[in-house]
Amino acid sequence: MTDAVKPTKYRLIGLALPRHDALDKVYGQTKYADDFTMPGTLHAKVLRSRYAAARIVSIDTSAAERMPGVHAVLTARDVPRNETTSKFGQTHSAGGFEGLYRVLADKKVRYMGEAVALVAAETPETAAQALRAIDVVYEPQPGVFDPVEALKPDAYRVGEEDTNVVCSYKVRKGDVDAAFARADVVVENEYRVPFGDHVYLEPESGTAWIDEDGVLTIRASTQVIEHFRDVADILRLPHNKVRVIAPMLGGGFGGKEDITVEAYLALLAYRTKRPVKLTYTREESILSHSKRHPYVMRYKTAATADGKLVAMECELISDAGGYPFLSPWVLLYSTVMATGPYKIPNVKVDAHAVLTNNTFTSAYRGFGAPQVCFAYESQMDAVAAQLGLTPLAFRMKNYLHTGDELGTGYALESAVLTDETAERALAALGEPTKPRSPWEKIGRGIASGMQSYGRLVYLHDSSRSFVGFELDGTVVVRCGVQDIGGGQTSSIAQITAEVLGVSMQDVTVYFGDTALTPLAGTTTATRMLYMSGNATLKAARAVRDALVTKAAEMLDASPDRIAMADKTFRVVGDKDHSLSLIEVLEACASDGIPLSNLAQFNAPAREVKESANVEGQIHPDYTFGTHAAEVAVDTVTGQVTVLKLVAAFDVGQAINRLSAEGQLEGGTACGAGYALLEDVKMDRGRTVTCALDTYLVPTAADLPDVTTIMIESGGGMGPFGAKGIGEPSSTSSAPAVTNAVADAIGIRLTRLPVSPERILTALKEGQAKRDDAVSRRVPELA
Amino acid sequence: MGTQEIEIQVNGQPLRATVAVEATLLDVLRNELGVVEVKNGCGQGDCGACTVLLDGDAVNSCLTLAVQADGRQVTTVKGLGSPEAPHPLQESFVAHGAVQCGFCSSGMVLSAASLMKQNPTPTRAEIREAISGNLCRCTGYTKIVDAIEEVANNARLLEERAS
Amino acid sequence: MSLQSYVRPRGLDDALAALADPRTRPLIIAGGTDVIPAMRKMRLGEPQAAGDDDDRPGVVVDLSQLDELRGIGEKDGMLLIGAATTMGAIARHELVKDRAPALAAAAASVGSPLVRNRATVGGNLATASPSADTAPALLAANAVLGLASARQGRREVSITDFFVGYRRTLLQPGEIVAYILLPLSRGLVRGRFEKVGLRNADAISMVCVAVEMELDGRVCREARIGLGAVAAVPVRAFAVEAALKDREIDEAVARECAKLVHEHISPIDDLRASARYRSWVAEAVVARMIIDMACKARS
Repeated sequence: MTDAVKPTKYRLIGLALPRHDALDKVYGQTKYADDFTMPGTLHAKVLRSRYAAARIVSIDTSAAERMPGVHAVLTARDVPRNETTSKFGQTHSAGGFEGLYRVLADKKVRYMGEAVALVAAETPETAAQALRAIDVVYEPQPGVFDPVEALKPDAYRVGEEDTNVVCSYKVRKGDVDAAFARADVVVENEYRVPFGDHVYLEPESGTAWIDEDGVLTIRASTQVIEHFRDVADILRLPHNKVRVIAPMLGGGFGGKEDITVEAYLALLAYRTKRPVKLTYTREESILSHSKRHPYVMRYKTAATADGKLVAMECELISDAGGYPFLSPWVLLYSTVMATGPYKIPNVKVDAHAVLTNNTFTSAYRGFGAPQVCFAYESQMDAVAAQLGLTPLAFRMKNYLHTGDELGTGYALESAVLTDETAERALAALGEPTKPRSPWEKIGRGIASGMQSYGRLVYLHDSSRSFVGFELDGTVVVRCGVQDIGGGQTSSIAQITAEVLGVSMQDVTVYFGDTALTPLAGTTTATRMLYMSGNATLKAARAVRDALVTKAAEMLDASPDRIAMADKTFRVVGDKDHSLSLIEVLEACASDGIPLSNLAQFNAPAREVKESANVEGQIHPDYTFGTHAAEVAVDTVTGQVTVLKLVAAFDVGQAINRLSAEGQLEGGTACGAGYALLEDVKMDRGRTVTCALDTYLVPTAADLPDVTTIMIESGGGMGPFGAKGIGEPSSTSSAPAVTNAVADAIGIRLTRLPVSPERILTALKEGQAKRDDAVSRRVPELA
Repeated sequence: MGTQEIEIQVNGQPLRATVAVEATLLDVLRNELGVVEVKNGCGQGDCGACTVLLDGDAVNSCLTLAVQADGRQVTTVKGLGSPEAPHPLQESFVAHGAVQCGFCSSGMVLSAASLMKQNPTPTRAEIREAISGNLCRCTGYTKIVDAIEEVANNARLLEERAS
Repeated sequence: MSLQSYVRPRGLDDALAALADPRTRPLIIAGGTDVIPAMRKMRLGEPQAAGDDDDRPGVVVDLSQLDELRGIGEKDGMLLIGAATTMGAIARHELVKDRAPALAAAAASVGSPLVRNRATVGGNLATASPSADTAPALLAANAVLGLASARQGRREVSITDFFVGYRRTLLQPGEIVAYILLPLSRGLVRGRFEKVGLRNADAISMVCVAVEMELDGRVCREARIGLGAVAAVPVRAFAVEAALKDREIDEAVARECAKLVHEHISPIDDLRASARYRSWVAEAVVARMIIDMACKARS
């Protein structure tokens, strides 16, 4: 449900088009990783640690190896290179940020669920039996399970270093102490957010085999096919002997950004010389893959009576879990976006990522921004209340605009329309709903966010795409896009069709194959539309230019007078002379003019200055927007009903209107789940909520319709002025809901999820405080 | 572990398999019979990705033993419609953008079809309830409800015209 | 247990004979929505504990297709429900919605539509989870359960005697629930069910409450209150019921009587909620339901 559709200045861009992959999916024809079968496939299973912290004394695999039907049992000693680093950049490393990645646990385990051994067998049942026959002797260690505890000097050492700190960052701008001293309002709070699971509907899965050319091939549900390099390094194979293919994914959300099954499959396929398949159960997925980082966030925000923010100081502590993975980067994002989309002259941020023996944490939609957004948007409402300003009015006095500097000193270059998104989001809530009973309280809230799109500029990110015409006028695109469901490949088809004057049905996209499609980089960081979209745009334009030049020559006109549309070339103003697309294609082919182009798009690149002090440009650009929510709180049970949800964003330019709305709606739902329901509970490193009946996500009965408002400033750095929205669409959603709850009950909860029990407890404690205050006012009787 | 020979009508085709007594219909469909449009999202009835129609009723195939389906009709999304003969729900899902990663779609469309049979003109609230056993992590459900509602509205129009 | 074979008996007597066969160990399945997840958890977890010495072959006995156990009808002013009737069928049935509304609401709250197409009321009772949603409604209706076995024949028990301990019922080996009988409410009797869960579908109750009250204006002639998820078994709040008897209900009276619910509940801390939360909510929801029902009762 959106604004009325405006006429678009493009033929296809901006339209609400059916996605080309949607048909296959709705007919049940799309094959996901586990749907592929090959004859002779062995079944793999992973033996995982039963302890969160332990020394491994010994591993005896002999009984398992002897079992009939078992083809391989592997432990750390069988891995050619068991230890590498979890690299963030695929083609360029930014030094100092890379953490240890261990394929199989060696002398110790650092989280429950860490892989200890691998088995490949004729059947899944045999593989399961083999796992049970592997005898691992553990010596449990005390472990540490709280990042604040893990910071203490005498804390249990999770890794092999002398500290549990993975990395630290700081931002220093101005003088916060002086600003606090002269401020009229200072609000301090500590916020805590929990582990989260991505719950992509498709659990991790893949198959690996060695092809007829001796190339180790892995087809897996992954957001990063370029892990082929890591797999090659692990097996000590040349990079050109490892191939990764990503079919359509059943969701990713960051949980398939790190290596999941690929290394295990490669090792087993290489050992057995048979195809090997590994598919996680849901329980195994929740137990073993990355989680969203819990944060402890101590915020101190100050403003003057005129409603201007003057200072913000915060300390961020993230729980990195048992291994660093992408924790340093997530922390960096949090650090850069810790202040939110606001002008704050004095800023002090200290951020630390700390190892614990909990499940490792890594990428999750928003990548460190949602956590701080919950904190800073709660602070904004708290400060507003003390100033006597409405949440909207206070924000409007402080939003960043184009040209303003972030806390890191980087001045925003592109469009920044947060003001408009906030006004329109709030207005879209309409008339307040009246309580339906005396026990119901209604509240409304807004939250604005900023979220980067495109990767860190330190990574010198690039993307490549190949666009080419066939002789019959149909088009082939080859691009290493990983399609995780957000319409990544469909957008490429649409952009190509727009530029080349054909229909989307005329474009076939080959994607996600390191052997056959030019590498486009990761499907992460809200970068695909920006990067592969721009690369595709560049390639398509080059093809178009070559054809137009040829047509101009054939029509004896100058190229700038040639119109290419509807598979025809004509000279502008001349009705009589035209050429068909086919004619021009054949002429090019005959004359040795390429009908295709391979283009590379490079994002802005910067060098890391000093790793701890974060300053200057960190990301290529940001997307700004506001969420609004209206909720009903049942004061008897504490349950929350979300009545209304609005997402208002400057998307730059929607490429496929349906896809853009779909991201906004889905992202908003993601945040609502984060706010109210989702909580991976761990008990000393043991995941307690290990299935979908205990880790709860919103069902269709838990959410209202999401109203989307898309502003198209044209000010993005993506194709046709698009901005990325995959992550921005979710970042500010949770605090909009929690601000609405705070509005309803008059109490601010500082921990997620805002569960019925936490709400009821707060209401009762609030009532107790009021009763206490009242009882003290009763005068003593004489 | 005991086995049993069973025959299931899948989308009108009789398919035979020898199955373990404890095997679920989901396991057998995917692993023995190659019916892979039925997805495994959780294996214990919490996500709905494995939804099939069993004698016309929408159920979690992971909560049904394969032996319990012996001699019965199973309809998957492929039995609902195909490119040659699309079901209105499938067309509506595509037209409304209700399909993103698509992993929930096979099951979601069947739950919607089951709803339409019982209640051809549901309200949006009734639609939400009908699909409440089918999780989606991509769409936030809004466009799925839109897609189902359009089919319901068309049914309403046809009803009005007929009366 | 190793499951060797599967039988789908055609008649109730065949089913009961299969359940009484001394050579095999029966695993009863109807909807499978409790049994199959339990099997899965066993399969994925540690192997069967050594204490299980029973090595008779396991037989899955499928009751779901037995027509004698399915269906909803009226018999002598009572509602008669076959134990293998699905939650969906119960929730949709006009007679149930009209004359046993708490049960209809309870059945409608179980799982999701997919689960409700399979899950049976008999299974819900036999699994005897403390948070079984239909139990409070049947307790509030003073339901009678018809049991059947090859050894004991047929017998009827009151639902108030049925649950004997945590996940334990008085069913003997080889004995099943065959039908449920409950009075069709008439006249001044109102029924209501409320479930407090963390979300609106596929949620296990943190607290669930069913109330039936015979109201004469605002005077409560009789009340029956069933609660789930707040003790080892589903319970009746007899003390609350006694306190309400012949009282004129207003908000103060409702709250005063609801306080007595604590005599019957002993909630625990678990993943979903703490004991303290359950205590608060059990009392407050009982009070609210009484207030709502009494204040909105038609004379």
